Amino acid sequence: MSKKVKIRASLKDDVTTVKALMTHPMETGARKDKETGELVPAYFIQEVVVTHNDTVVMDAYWGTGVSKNPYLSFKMKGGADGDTISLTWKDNLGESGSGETKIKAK
Amino acid sequence: MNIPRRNILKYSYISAVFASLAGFSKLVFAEWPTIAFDQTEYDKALADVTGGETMQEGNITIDAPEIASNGATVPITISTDLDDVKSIDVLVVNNPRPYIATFFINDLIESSVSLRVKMRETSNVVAVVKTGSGLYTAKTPVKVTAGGC
Repeated sequence: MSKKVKIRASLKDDVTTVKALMTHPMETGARKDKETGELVPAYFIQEVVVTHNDTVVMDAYWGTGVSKNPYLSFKMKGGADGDTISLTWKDNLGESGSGETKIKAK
Repeated sequence: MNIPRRNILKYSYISAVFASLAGFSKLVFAEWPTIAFDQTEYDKALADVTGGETMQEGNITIDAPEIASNGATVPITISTDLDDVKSIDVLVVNNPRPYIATFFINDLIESSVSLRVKMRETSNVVAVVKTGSGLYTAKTPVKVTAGGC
């Protein structure tokens, strides 16, 4: 499984739009394997943190109701061309993934 | 205890990741709210999320499709022009686990988030916005033609 996060940040009219796509099965723990009939254990992202340079701008708690391969988007006030935006997630098994991008001015 | 060599490496790697995250989490997270996320009844989940505080109908917009053909991935955007927003919580009333997510908002970002949620069946999508001057809520119905939980 790729733990790399696809992330984009674009700046327009002094607002930076951040869009991120994570790769994760987001198993609820209630789904049965079609072949074995056994429950697939819960396996999902619980915490997400986004930073602008080294400042935390957004953090979130997620449950199993967030869709597989989660998408997240929000708007940040300000930001400058070339600034770093990075996202880190941690799942219920203690695994983590991250991605980083530079803000592009439009 | 007899742990094979390669497992020792594996364990030490995992502990290192945990340790780095532990330091990291202290700055950002109080603690992931297990009880609230595990609730299977909407009323209980909502009570956990709100701490039992009363809510007002607020200036909150929920953008969601009227009809979702695939309940496994329903795009929603929640935004508000309320002042002093601390967090935005998302719940889906008829899901097996109704509490979906909490996003923490601060002065550095706008009070708006977009995500995709799972929906088992036709249900209201509920937003709870916590502000410095109380709790606000809004809801919108989404008709689901093929459930995705």
